[in-house]
Amino acid sequence: MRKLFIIAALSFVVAACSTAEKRTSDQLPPIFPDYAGVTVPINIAPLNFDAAVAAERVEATISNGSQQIKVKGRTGVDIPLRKWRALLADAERLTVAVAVTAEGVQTEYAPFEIMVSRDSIDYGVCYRRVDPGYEYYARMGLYYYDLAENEEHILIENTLLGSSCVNCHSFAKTNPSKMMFHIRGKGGGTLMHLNGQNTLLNTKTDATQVSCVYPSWHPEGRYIAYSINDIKQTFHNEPSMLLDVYDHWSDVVIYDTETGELNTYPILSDTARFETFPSFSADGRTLYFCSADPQAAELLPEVRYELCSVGFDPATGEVGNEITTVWDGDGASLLFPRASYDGRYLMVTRSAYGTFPIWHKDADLWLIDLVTGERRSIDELNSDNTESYHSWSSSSRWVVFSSRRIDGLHTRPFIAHVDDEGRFSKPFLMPHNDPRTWYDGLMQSYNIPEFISAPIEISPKDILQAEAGAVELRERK
Amino acid sequence: MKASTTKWRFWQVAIVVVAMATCWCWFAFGAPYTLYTKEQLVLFVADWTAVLDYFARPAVLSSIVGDYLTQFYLLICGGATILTIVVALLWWGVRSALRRFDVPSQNATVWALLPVVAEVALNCHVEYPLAMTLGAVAATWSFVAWARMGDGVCKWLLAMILAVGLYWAVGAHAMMFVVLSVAWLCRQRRWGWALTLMLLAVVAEMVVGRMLYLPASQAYCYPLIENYMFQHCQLFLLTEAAVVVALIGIGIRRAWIGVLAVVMASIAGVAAIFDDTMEYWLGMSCEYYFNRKERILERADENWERKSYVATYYTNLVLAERGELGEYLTENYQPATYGLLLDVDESSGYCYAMAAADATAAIGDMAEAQRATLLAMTFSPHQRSSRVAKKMVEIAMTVGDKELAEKFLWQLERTALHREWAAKRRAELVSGAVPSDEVRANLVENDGFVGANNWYPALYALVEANGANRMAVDYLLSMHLLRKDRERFLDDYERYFYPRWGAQPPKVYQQALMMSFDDESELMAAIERYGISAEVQRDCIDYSRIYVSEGGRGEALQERFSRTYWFYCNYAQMN
Repeated sequence: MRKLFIIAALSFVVAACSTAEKRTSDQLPPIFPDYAGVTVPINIAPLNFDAAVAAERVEATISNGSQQIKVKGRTGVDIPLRKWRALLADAERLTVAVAVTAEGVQTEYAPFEIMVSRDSIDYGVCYRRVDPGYEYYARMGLYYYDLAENEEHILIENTLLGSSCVNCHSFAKTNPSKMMFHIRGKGGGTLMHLNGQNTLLNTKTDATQVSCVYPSWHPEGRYIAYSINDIKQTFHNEPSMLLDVYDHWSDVVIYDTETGELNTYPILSDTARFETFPSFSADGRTLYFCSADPQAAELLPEVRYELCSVGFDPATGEVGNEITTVWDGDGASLLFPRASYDGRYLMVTRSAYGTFPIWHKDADLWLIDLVTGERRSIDELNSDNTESYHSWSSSSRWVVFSSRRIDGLHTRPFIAHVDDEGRFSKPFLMPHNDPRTWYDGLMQSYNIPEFISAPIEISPKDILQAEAGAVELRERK
Repeated sequence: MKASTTKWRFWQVAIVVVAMATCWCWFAFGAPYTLYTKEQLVLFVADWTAVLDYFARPAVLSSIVGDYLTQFYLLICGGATILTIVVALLWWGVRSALRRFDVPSQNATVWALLPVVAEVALNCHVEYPLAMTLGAVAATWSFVAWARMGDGVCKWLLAMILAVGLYWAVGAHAMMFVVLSVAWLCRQRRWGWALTLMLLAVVAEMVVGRMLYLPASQAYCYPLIENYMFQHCQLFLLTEAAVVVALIGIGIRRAWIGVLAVVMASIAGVAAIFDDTMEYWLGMSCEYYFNRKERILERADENWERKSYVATYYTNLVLAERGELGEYLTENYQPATYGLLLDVDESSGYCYAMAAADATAAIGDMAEAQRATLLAMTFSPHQRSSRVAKKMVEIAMTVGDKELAEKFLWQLERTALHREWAAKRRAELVSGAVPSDEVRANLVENDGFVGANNWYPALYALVEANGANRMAVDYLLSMHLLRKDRERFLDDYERYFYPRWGAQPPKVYQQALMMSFDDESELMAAIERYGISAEVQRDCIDYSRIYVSEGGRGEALQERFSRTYWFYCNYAQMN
C-alpha cells in the first residue's frame, strides 16, 4: 500500500513536471547574443547564450552531425568547455535547436546553424573599458580576453595610476611582446614594452607641442607611426549624437624604437592640412593616413578626411616625396585605416564628416581591395548604428570591430570571418560565460579592440616600475 | 548589594535603549535624505554574475550584504531601522569584546557605545557605506569568537589568518579585529605576537589591495572610496580610535564619566561630519525624485538662510512645471543664474550631476539630460546608481531609444525595490505609449552644436523647436532676468511669450517690463500692451519714490520689496 502511494505520488510529480504546454515555432529562437548563421573559429570558447525574453527554462541541443550535447539552464545555457571543444574539433557546422519555456509554455524554435571555420583565431582581444562618451571618466582599464577560455585578464586599471587615463594600446602585428599604450596625466607617458624591457616615454617635445596620440606599429616592429593632435570637443543637441571630437591641428610623426628618435617630416606636418590616423601597410613600405583640408570647411560638419598614402623606407626611416590620395571618400570622411597583414585589404570607417565617428550612427566599415582597387561598404558587418574601430587578426582571416548596435550607447566588440574572396561572415558578439548579465550589466564601452596572438607578459607592477625615458626629436628634411 | 546591582542593570538597559532610540530618531528625522541618497547610489542587481563583480575588490562579503541592505533605505525609516540594528549589533559585539578584558559589565556597557557613536557619526556622510559598519560588526564579533578560544599556537596562527581574511571579507574595518587583538595580546604581555600581528595586518592590506588593483591609500580605507566627497577617508579610523579610548575608559570606575564621554563624542562627531545644508538640498533633490514636489515649495523659504544652489534649482524647477516661474521667481533666493540650470563639469560631483538632469529633462533638452545623467553615473563612487539608471530609462524612452531603455530596465528588474517601477516602464515601452505627443513635441530635431553648459543655444533650440514649450520659454526669460539682461528679455518676451501667454503676464515679468522702458510714453504704451496690473504699477511707483527719497539705500526697501525683481536688480547681493 505504501509503495503504491509513493508510486502514485511520484507519477503525480512527473506528470506535473511534464504538463508544460509544448509548441513549435518556425522562427529562430530569441536568444542573446544572436549566433544564428555566424561563422566561428575552431578554437573559440563556448558560445553560451541567454533567452532574450523572460524565460523559465532554456534547453539547447547542439549537434555537429556525429555527436551532440544537451544543455539547459534557467535563463540561458552554459556549455561545458571540454564537450564544446570535442564538438568543434571535427565539425564543419553545428546545428543548434533551442527550446524556451516561458509562462508555462515550452516553444521549440527552428534550429539554426553555426559554421565552424578551420581558420583559428588569435589568442585574444585587448581593449579598453571606459565609461561611454564625454570628457570625464572614472574607473577605466586595459584588459585582454582569452577567446578560447572566455576569461578576462587585467592589464592595468587606472586606480593604480592615480586615476589617469590609459588609452591607445597597440601591438606590432598582434605581438604582445612589442606593445605600447599611453598613460595620461601626472607622471604619465607612453608605456613601451619591447622584448621584455619597459620604458615610460615622454613623447612630448618643444617642437611637437603635444604627446603622441594614435599609433600604428610597423610590421617589423621597429617603427611606430603616431599622429599628434590638438583635440577639442563639442556637443550635439540631438541626444543620439551626444558629442563630437575634432582637431585644431594634427600631424603624423614616426618613432624609431631602436634609436629613440621621433622623426618629423615636412610632408606629414603640412600646416595647411590635418594628418591623422597613420597605419602602415602589410609590407611596411607604405604609410596610410587620413588627411583633411581645414580651410575648405568652416564648420565641423563640413570637414572631410580623405585616405592618403606616402612611401616609407624601413631601412632609412625616410618617407616619400609624394602623397597619393587613395580615396577621397566620395563626399564622406574616412577614418581608422587598417591594412590586413596579408596585404590584400584595407578597412576604413566611413562617416558623413569629422574625425570622431564613434558617435556617428551613420559610421560604417568599408573595404578597399588593395590589389584591384575596388571598394565597397561591408554590408555584412554594418548595422543601423555606429561601427567604428576595427583590427585584423594575425592571419587576416578575422576582424574584430566595435559597434553600438546593441543599445546605441555602449560599444561592444564583434568578430567576423573573412574568406578568400573578401566576403565577411555575419559578425558575432565576443562570447562571454554569462553574456546577458555581463553585457547588460556593464556600464562601460569596449574601446579599441585589438587582436593579440598571446597573453600579455607585463604585469601592473612592471608598468609601475617602468623606467622613465624621453624621445629625441629628429626633424627630417 | 543586590538592589544596587539591579538598579545599575536597569540604568544600563535604559542607557542603551535611549542611545539606540536616539540613533533611530536621528536617522529617521534628522538625516533621512542622506540615507535616501545612499540608496540612490547603489544598484544591487540580484544576479550571480553581477554579484561576482564584488570579488574583484576587498570587502567582498560586507559590500554584498551592505549593498543589498542599502536598497531598503528607500523605505520610510528603512535606513534608520537597518542602521540602528547594525549599530546595536556593533555595541553588543564591542561590549562582549570589552568583557574579554575582565571589566565590570556596567563599564563595558557604557564604553561600548563609544565606537557606536563613531560609526553613527560616520554614517551621517552620504558616502560612508553600510558595508563599513557591517565590517566593524564582523571584525568585532570575530575578535569575540577568537578571544574565547583556548590558548596555543593555533590561536595565534588563527589571528594572523583572520587579520588577512577579514580584510578580504569586510575591508578596512578589519582593523577593529587587529586593534582588539593587539590590545588583548599586550594585556597578556605577548609583545612579539602583538607587533607581528599589527605589522602583518598593515602589510597584508597593502598587498591584498595591490593584488586587487588598489593603491595603498585606497586599500586601507576600502570600501570607503577616496577622492570623492569624503575628503579624509582615514577618518574611518575614528571607530578604531574609539575602541582604544573605550579600552582605556573601562578602567575608570565612575560610570558617569563614560556616559559623559559618549554624549560629548556624539555631539562632536555628528557636528563634525553631518552637513545640515547638504541634508537640506539633498532633501529637495529626493523630494523631486519621490515626486513630492509640494514639499520643495514648503521648504523653499529656508533657502534664504542656507543659500543652496540646488535648493533654488529645484524650487525653480517645480515652479516652472506649474507654470509659475514668472510669478514667483524672485520670491525665492536666486544666486544669479546658478540656481536655474546646473552646470556640470569634472568638479561637480555626482549629487550635482544627478540633480542637473532633472530640469533639462523636464524642459525637453534630452541631450543635456543624458550627458548629465551619464556623468552622474561616471562620478558616483562605484559608477552605479539606481536613480541614474531610472533616469536613463526615462530619457531613453522619451527619445525612443528602446534598446537602451531595455538595458537599464533589465538591471532595475533585478533589484528589490525598483522592480515594480521597471515593470510599469516596460509595459509602457511595449505599449508604445511613451513618449506622449506633448513630450515628443519638445524634442529638438534639428541637430546643432553646443558647448557644455552653454545654456542659451540649448534654450533657443528648444523654444524654436516648439514655441508651446512653456517651461523652456520661462527658463529662457528667467535666464535673461537673472542676468539682468532686460533688453534680451524684452525681445524674447515679445517673440516667444507674448503671442501665446501674453494675456496673463506673470508678476515678475510685469515687474521686469516696467523696468524696461525709460521713455514715459513708451512705458504707458507698454503698460497697455502687456496688461500690467494696477498693483504692479502702484508698487513700481512706490519703489521708485522710496529709492529716490532714500538715496538708493536698500535697507529702506528691503522689508516691502525684497522679493521683487526691482530689488533683485538693484540689490541682489543683499540677499
